[in-house]
Amino acid sequence: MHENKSVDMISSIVLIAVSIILFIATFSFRAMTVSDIGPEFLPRIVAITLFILSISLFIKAYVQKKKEGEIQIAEEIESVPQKESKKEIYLLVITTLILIVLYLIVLPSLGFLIATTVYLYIQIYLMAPADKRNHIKIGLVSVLSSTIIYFVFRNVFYLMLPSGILG
Amino acid sequence: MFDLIIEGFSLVLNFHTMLLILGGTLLGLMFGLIPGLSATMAVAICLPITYGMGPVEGFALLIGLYIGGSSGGFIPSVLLNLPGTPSSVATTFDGYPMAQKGLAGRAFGISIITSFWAGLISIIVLVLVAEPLAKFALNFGPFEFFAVALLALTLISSLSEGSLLKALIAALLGLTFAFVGSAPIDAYPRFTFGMNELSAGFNMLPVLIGIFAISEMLKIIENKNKISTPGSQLNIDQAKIKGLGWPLKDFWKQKWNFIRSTIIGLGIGILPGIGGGTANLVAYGTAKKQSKYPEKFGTGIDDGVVASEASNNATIGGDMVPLISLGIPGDTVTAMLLGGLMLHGLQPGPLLIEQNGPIVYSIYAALFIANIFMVILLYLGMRGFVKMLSIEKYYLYPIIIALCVVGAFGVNNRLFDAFALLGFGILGYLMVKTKFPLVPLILGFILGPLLETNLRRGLQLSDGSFMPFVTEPISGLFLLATVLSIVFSVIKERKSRMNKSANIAG
Repeated sequence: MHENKSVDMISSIVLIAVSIILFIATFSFRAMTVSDIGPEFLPRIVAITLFILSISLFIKAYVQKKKEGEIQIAEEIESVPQKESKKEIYLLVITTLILIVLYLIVLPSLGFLIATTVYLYIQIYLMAPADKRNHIKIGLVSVLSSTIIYFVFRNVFYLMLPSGILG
Repeated sequence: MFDLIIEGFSLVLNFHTMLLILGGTLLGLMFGLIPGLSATMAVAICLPITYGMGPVEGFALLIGLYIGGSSGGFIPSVLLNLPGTPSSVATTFDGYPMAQKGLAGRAFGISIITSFWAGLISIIVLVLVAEPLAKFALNFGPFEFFAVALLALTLISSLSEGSLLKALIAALLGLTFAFVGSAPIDAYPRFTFGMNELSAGFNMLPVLIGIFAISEMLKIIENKNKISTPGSQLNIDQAKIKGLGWPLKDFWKQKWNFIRSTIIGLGIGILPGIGGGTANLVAYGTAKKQSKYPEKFGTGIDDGVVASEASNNATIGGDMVPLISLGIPGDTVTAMLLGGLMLHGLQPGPLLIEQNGPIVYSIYAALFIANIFMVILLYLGMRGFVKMLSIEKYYLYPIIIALCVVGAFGVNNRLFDAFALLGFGILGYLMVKTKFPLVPLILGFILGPLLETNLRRGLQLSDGSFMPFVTEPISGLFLLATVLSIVFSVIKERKSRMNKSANIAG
């Protein structure tokens, strides 16, 4: 059992909260049909089932955590040296997410070509191993790929992409 | 039916459409062979591209991607001991030892030949089975459709890996996302929380691409070692891919193994929820069990490669059976293809063949042709494909992310969709990290409207009584199967847990 039961407990608490919110939200649906089974019927059933299943998940995780408490501790001691590198790993995930958000925000105003080139440059730079961060190569790849994507999607597949300040 | 077959081929046999199939197969092979990219992702990213095409052209491309993406995975399995897709995991067991002996060319030959024949057989089965099944399903009313949709949801949850509870929760979340926007029948807005952009519900593309592609990218980024390419250490000459072939008499020796593995792949494909990722492991296990020399498995024998590669391509036709005949996807790629049907204004379900026969048969034709292109491309371009393994991933993955954004943004030109893409990407990533399966969520999202519409129509027909859902024979049978699928899955989970605790104790 390598699954972390604490994670299960946290996610089930979040899910319980979600199901309660969903259940309450269904009371704002007002049926326009006269039938008994209106638009709120299935969502409410789903919310209730979600609530029940999430509670079972919580209980299951809680019971198993108690049972495996000793094993868990032993595992945690073993995994301490890895903790440091784990932080660094999630750092890249989080910076990537922030980077994508920024990219999406500037996309309409800067336009696809500029925004994508800048995004690709930073993203590749962040992902590449330190000894392979070749500015010229990364720059070239960023410019070329965003240009190719832009023209292929606009002119071959007729997909609208924001042209921004270049347009 | 023969008229339709001819009509289907005549729709596809023109330069433009053939080029789309060829391009799709080529691109699919690349996605299949690069570890971390898959057929699902290829179809997800290219779905928006098909928006501007007709349904025949659009599906020509998607089918090429599907066949190619399902076939390219054996290359890194053999050369690097690293499966290109989940459906070629078992190929590593004997393919890699074979390559170590200097017989990579033979492993490739076996993979190409068995993939082709198994794929061909599965496509023929699809053509033969889908229409009668759809005709049978034409008798379905709202009760039956509700029941079959529910069965598909619970089957997918009980068959997916890991905890049943989590799979069911994922399916419920998918249903919830499907509720967002206007309700079926009376169009009352639900779960919009005051946001105008949500009044039409979540767009399918951002949900699909976010859940499958963005989450996968985030997962890969997490592991920095995986970003640097293992293929760069690969010495292509050392891999000795010159002798690309496999004597016919050796193929003949494998005939029973081949047929058995193909049937396993077909069966697993037809079941909703599981596809090539499961089939190759089951077929390998069965081949080993049935073999006269099980101890030789894993040392680089033909049998192992045949089992894995025949079964994973046989799932292609199997997976498409419920998609074409019932409008219910069998796995992630067919979920994407279902999205493609809707995108092109085709109503999935048992009426699909009757109403859009020529288009369905053009899809069959595309499957046949893509299967042939796959073989030709692999024979002619093997050197090029092997070279592709040394492309640096840190160049590739950011470009994939940008392509996802293009896909989500391009169709409606709404920034909201791009943020939805990111939101679903994060959700998918968190679900992977907390071990919630993604497939039930997608199926819940896609089947939600079908489930609800038929539930409410049924209740209107029966004046609010739930009894007909149980007493109608076909619908009752499906509901019984729904309950059984959950019961069996609970028993299975109990058993495996007991085994585990027994192992710990022992």
